[in-house]
Amino acid sequence: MSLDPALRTRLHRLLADYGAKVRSLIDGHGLGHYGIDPADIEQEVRIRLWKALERDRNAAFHTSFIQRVVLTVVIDAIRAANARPVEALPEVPDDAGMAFIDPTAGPERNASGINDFDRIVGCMAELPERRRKAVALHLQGFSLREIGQLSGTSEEAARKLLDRGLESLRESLAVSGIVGDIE
Amino acid sequence: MNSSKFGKPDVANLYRRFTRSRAAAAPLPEVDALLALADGQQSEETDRLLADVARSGMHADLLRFARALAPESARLGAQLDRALERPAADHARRTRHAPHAATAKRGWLRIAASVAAGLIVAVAVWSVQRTQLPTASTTAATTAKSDRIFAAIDDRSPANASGSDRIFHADFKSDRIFHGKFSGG
Repeated sequence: MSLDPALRTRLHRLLADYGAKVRSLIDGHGLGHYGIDPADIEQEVRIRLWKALERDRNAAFHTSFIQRVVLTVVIDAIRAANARPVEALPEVPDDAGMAFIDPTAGPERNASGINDFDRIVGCMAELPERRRKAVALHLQGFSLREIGQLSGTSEEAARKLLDRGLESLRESLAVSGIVGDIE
Repeated sequence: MNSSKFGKPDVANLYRRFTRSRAAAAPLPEVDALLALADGQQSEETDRLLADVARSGMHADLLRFARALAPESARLGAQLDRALERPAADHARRTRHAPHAATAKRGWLRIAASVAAGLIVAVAVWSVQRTQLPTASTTAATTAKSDRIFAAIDDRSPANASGSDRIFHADFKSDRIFHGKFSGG
């Protein structure tokens, strides 16, 4: 593609700004914990988008195309990280409490956490499917509005499913001996 | 351990932590399904992915990331349009409507395919019937012929011996012709 230097510089700046935002979003959503390097992702996204521009400067860059480029790079990077040998993983556990074993907790508390988690999952399995999904999405941090959108229901319907699901879960957990906070 | 206030386990925190730590075992999502789910579309693929999101912290993080990416990507698309002096496009609107348009297009394709399949079946039935009709008449003719054969066999029976005698008589007619020729000579 023959571009005048001013336009080339402008396009590079746009892609650089976007790359920086992608990197910031990767950090903000905790994707770095899955073994990917946000700086590598940023660079790869910029390269791929620039190549796409070079291939056809007249092609419209739809939102979905740009998103697809970024998500492909991220998912490929996670796949590569998963395939990496165990010794290549960082030695120090992450500091955001995302690791399976909490380094600040003693072995007894970690074991207790695993048991609690297994019991929570067991109690959730007893819920009707739609309630279980609403509860699980809530526990994953999605808002009522998001749960409604993702499940194809209204926010009000999502709220009812969640309320009933959480009520049943509290009762089941109490029977299992877990009296936890479920907000 | 991640306990919340009053020493009670924070169920949400616990669930998130452990579903993230077990994420490596879950298959990674397909990009198209992830985009569709992030855009609020409903299909079998998005239903399956939503179930994965519910039990895998990594899938949940990726979905949130994909949703957060949309406005920034729309902005970049618009900026590129302006920089390359292309007619401005409503990127967000296009993203939202493209899947529905694709679904409608798929619906029409399905109808067209159904009509085409129906026509093929109709033509096939018609042509089979057409080929079967002559076959049936041929069979009838064959039966008739075979009946005649049998009739001929029956003719040879002593009860119909007169028939063969007629043929024999015909030979005598040629004798007459011979006689005629002989007399003329």
